[in-house]
Amino acid sequence: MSNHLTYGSWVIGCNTCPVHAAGDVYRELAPAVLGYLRAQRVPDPEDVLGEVFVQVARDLAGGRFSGDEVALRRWVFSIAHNRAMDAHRRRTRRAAATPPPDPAPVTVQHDDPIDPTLVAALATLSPDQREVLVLRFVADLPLEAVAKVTGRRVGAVKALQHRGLENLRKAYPREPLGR
Amino acid sequence: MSDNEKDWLVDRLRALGTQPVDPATQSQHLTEMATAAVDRAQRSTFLGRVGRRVQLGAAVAVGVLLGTTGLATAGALGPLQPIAARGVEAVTPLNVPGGESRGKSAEAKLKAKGFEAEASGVERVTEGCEAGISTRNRGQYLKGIREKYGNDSAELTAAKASRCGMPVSSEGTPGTDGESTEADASKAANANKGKSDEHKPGTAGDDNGTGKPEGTPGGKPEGVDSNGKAASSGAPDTAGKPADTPGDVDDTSGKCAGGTGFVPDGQPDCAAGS
Repeated sequence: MSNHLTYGSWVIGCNTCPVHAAGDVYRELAPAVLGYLRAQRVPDPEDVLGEVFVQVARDLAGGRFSGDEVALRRWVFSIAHNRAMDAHRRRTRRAAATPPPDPAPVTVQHDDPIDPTLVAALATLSPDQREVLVLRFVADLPLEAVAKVTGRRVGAVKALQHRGLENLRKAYPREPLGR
Repeated sequence: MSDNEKDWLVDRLRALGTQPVDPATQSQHLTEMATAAVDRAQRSTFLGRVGRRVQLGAAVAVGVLLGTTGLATAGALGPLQPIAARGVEAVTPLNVPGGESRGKSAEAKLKAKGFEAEASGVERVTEGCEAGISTRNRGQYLKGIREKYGNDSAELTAAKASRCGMPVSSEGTPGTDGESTEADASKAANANKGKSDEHKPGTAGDDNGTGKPEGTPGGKPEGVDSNGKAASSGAPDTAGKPADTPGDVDDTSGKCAGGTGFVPDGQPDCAAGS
């Protein structure tokens, strides 16, 4: 990631700067956020991605963010995390109203441009482990940032990461896929 | 799990975050973001400008309020407070004090010096009175003379003979109704108690023109029983009730309600059988 993602000073005194800044943030972080949303099995991840970055653009224009690159990445993924939770709640309410015809908890999305087997393997993990692995490696956040986003201590994040990788290795074996 | 396997898994996970967004979706998102950012920037600029003005105005108003309140409390508002009081009184039925500083009214000056009688509108005799001594009422005048010259001074005798401090409308003539003799007798009776018999606030020299008897509670004169009757019957005073309690003289009619031995200013001498 380049160093031009220090947007705090851009926002002040320039009405059009936030637009450009938000565009740069989108181009830099949108793939990771989309991967995060897909790995979290959020329904309609592209729509949620749009909601996340509209919120980012609005907050940048309002001068609500200032900080370095890591802080920006953590802030964007905090917004994505909240939006993902909202989407899951919406889906849960909708499912409670109309039960889905297919009760299978894990379904492989074959039309997904990313590795569907990996997404399916991630779905077998516990929500905590999946959350930590996705934030840690898909979003590329450091341990401290993951701890802040998820509201856990760093030691707990390390433990969840370790157990998550163990379980993912079992659910996503290397040899059969020939990789 | 070996490090090799772990690295491979991590690489696979990182690859999830590098998949490009569909260009059409990206264009749509960027358009929405630009709209949201411009709206927010314009709104925050407008609100910020208005908000700063509101904050500045509120700060000035609070400062003026606190400052003037402090000055008014300290009595150092100068001529502003009377002016403000007149302005408020002109438009409202409120009675606003004129303040204690310069520019106060004549009424306020008199009140400040203790001349409430003049301020209250009861006209008193001031001719021939000692300058610098309050003629607020008869009692205050005699008290002032006594404090200035002493109890046995000729000035006090002359003051008692004068009508200083008495209401102009009163008809009593000091010195002709036995005031000096009767009052001196009662004074002698109370001398051991060291109390004045004429100048207790609320009892002697009442400035409301009712002519209540001079004297202090407990200042019972000789020859008067507890009921205010003459002690000619020889009955001892056992109740200990002050002989000069209000009610001994009918304030409204001026008739004797009982012989107290005191002669109020301008009132008939009950002990003398008037």
